[in-house]
Amino acid sequence: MTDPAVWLYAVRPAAAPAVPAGLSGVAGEPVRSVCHGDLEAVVGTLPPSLAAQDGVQARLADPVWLEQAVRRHHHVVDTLFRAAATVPFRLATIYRGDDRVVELLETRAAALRPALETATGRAEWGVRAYPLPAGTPAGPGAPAGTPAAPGTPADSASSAGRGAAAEAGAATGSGAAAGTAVATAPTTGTAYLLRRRTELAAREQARAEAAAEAAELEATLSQWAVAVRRLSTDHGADEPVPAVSNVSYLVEQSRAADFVACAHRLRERLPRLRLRITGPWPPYSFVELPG
Amino acid sequence: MTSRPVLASPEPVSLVDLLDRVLAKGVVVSGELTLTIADVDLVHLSLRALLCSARPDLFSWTVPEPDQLPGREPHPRAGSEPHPRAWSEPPAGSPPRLPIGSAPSAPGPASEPSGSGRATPGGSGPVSEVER
Repeated sequence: MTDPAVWLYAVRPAAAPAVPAGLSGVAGEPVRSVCHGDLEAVVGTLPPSLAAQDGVQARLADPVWLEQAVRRHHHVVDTLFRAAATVPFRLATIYRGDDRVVELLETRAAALRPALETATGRAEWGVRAYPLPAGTPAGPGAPAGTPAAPGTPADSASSAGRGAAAEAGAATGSGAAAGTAVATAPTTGTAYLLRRRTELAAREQARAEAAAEAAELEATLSQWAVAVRRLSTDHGADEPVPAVSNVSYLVEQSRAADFVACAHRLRERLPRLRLRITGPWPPYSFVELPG
Repeated sequence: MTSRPVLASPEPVSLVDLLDRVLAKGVVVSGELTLTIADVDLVHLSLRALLCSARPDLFSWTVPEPDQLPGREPHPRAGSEPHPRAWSEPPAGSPPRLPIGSAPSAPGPASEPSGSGRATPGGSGPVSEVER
């Protein structure tokens, strides 16, 4: 007989509003609370098929199941987060029964309470920055008609305001010229190599400019945050353009509007970057427990 | 005031942003049955790779709407569907639409005196995204 498997979603203050009725978890199971002292764990009991030894482990290899689990886990955490301070637990934190969860609340209370304090009244905001291509990316995706043509305020500012950008703009402009060169002298190996070298240099320079802007981005946004965590920018070959910055900011709710407004202003100030702002997130990235 | 469309399901959140957090972050404790996922970052990476290979569109949200980005080069993967839940960039000069989590019972006031931005009361949808 297998012991019950209890999936732990989050810990909250015991005084938090009740877990919403009808909230269901990773396996569609009803989500409920396990209280001990001033702390409450929000859990769900997995069905026998998942409770078996390696039951969850096996399912994790199924991308469809895994994605669903990730989304459902987050849905529970996010629902709780919108009602009260919430300390999210990592996916697939599983205990053999409620008494083990109580044990956790008891033995780790000294670490969980500060984590709850950190989470109270705050949210995590993600800002990912991608370099905008400045040169002439090879391939049919960037026909000659679509390069960063002047006309938008941001682009005008970028080429007018900064020498480096102007130079990159020249490189962009030379994209059309390079295209012409290809048309007129497609067979010259030297011309090809020269063009290739110019392209690589432009790309290198664009990357360096993007990195400099990313540093400014992080420094500026950090001023609004009580804590900052760098997330991975390495997403492997599946990500066509690696991010130059992927940072989570823990922001007081009262400053969230200013934070987002600041991020939007930075879009105009940092023409080499494309920003992706997400939030508010439960404070996943700010709840490390010591030990 | 632009009100955000309320999305009923948890789907609106981009998976890649979720993976960075749900798989890689969150409290890690040792449970009896806590999977190695919690212990070894390599497992996280392999799970992410698993999802990436199963979902080649995973990063398609990086594709901007061409008509929303005048003067911007299309993403190399332009042509695939942009992320259906992605926000378009607000027009220049308009206040940002704020995806502040402001469920009525949310902790902390969603409205605040600052005039630099405006909160979206009742925008209780899941994590929202702003993209340009």
